[in-house]
Amino acid sequence: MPEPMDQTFADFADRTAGTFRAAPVEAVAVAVRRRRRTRRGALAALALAAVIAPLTLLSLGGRGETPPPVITPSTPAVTSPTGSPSPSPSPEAGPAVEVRPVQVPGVPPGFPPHLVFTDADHGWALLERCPADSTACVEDDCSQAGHTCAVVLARTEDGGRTWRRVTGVPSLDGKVINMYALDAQTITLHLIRERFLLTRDGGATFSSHRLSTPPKEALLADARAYGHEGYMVTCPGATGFEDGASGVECEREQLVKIGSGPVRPQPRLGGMPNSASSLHRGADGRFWLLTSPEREGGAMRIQLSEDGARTWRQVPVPAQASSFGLLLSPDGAEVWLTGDAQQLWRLVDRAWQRQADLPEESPPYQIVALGGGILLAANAAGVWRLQDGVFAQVPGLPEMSLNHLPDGTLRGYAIGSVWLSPGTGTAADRPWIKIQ
Amino acid sequence: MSPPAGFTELYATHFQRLATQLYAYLGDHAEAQDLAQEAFCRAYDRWHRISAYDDPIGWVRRVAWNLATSRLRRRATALRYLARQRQEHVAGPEPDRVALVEALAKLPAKHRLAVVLHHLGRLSTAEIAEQQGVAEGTVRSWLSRGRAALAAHVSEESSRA
Repeated sequence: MPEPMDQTFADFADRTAGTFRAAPVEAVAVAVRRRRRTRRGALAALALAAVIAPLTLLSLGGRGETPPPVITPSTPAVTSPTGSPSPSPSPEAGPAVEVRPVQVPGVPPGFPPHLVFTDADHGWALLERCPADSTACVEDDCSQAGHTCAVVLARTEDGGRTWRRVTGVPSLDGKVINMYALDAQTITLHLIRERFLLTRDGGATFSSHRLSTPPKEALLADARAYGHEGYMVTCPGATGFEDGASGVECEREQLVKIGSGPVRPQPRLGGMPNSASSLHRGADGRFWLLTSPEREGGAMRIQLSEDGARTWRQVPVPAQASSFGLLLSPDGAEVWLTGDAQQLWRLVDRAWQRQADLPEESPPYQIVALGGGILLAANAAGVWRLQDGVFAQVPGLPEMSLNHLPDGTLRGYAIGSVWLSPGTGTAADRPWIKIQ
Repeated sequence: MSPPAGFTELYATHFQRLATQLYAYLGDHAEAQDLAQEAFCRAYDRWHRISAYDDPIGWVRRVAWNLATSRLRRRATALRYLARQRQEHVAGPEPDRVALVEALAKLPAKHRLAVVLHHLGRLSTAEIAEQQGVAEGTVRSWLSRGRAALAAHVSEESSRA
């Protein structure tokens, strides 16, 4: 017969365990791969939160009194009603896919690559190999271990057809590394809990930077990757690269122009992590700022600046949305909102118009606006394309996070591979390159 | 591409158990879920190494508890901690479960850690000592004092049953 103490805890476990729900393992894989490349602070570093509550990280909004709205909500014009039949797979053949394995001269097989691209041609790869009996990384950062994992940095200038090893970098063996690639010549390696290494000359030389003073290039790369070129929203005093349990919390975040400091006047921002904000900067010069009270309840808010972040005004949100993400087309002209129950709105003539429901479980980071009223949205079943008010599956493409690179290339992170679709435009048959 | 061999089974088997332990320790259901998820994410990220360990779940548990300890350290006061209990809304036999969590919340963190790891995590004092990097005697002391402080609560529960 168990001791009363044991029985009490056994009862507790029986009653409690079922209240926790693990995210699908496939979603874990996607979140991990995404984080390897662009790790962000605090909850954002928990890209995981994007798995559990997908809309919280990319949701935006404001706080405080409401300026006169310039964009008025309207009765949704539902082009595809809520509750409409689920999208069905397209019977057509998928786009052409070319597979390019990462092969680095002098590096034997068995090094799985971690990849990041800055345009259709230029990319970087970290290749890591650990012996099966390695005792490395018994803690979460390898810093305490007598690690023996070998790490190689390589780069490509031809879209992954060929790779060459970067020889100017200090030894990376045993390090846990995040990459922040700004352009073809510039990448920052974040050696977790150690330092930053920066090259501006394609890897010929590297400079070392303390954790407390991350290179501006790393911040710019992170901002570019997340669609807010040159700006960031952060807690005062945060470096922008805190991760996991070391994340900074604050009562009020601030909008910062990278390299210049906080903008004046500040928009209305909430605190981290309970009311985190995120920023989108369109190619048309507009700034969109959303704040999402994550755990405290309350309304989502959107703020808009059309004068270079000098003044802000509040934009009404659809009444039905309790949580949402924002998407911009490459030219910044098209603005979309995604809700937390597959809802999708598009800003048309200053009013949010309801669109066809998104495929199930498509978080904002897996949706990209192509322009011309066309979206791609990925979920566990693959990639779906919205055109003429209907989502149809794009055959041959796996679940992936999606965004645009500065040259217009579509880039997707899937499990075990990076996908590129060079060029611009909205064509359904634009070819894809799978790099793995 | 399929998840790496062994990870899915480990994840399915241990996620709820680990989250339950963290909940008992932190008293915050959402945070327990988040931290358990984070620990398994880190394990996935390094699975090629961790899968070779004798005890992969031990690695995950250590990471999760390190995260939980760091998180708890940042909480300002016990008052704030207890306030979180009042905000909780969970299904099922909530009063009993919350009562235990509240009783645990009154313990010093180290005592609570030892009690939870021993009685929920089923770890020996030696295993807890190894995980925490302290002498086994220290863990015995934490456990003993934690158990004593919880005795009244457990006795009440037993008599009610």
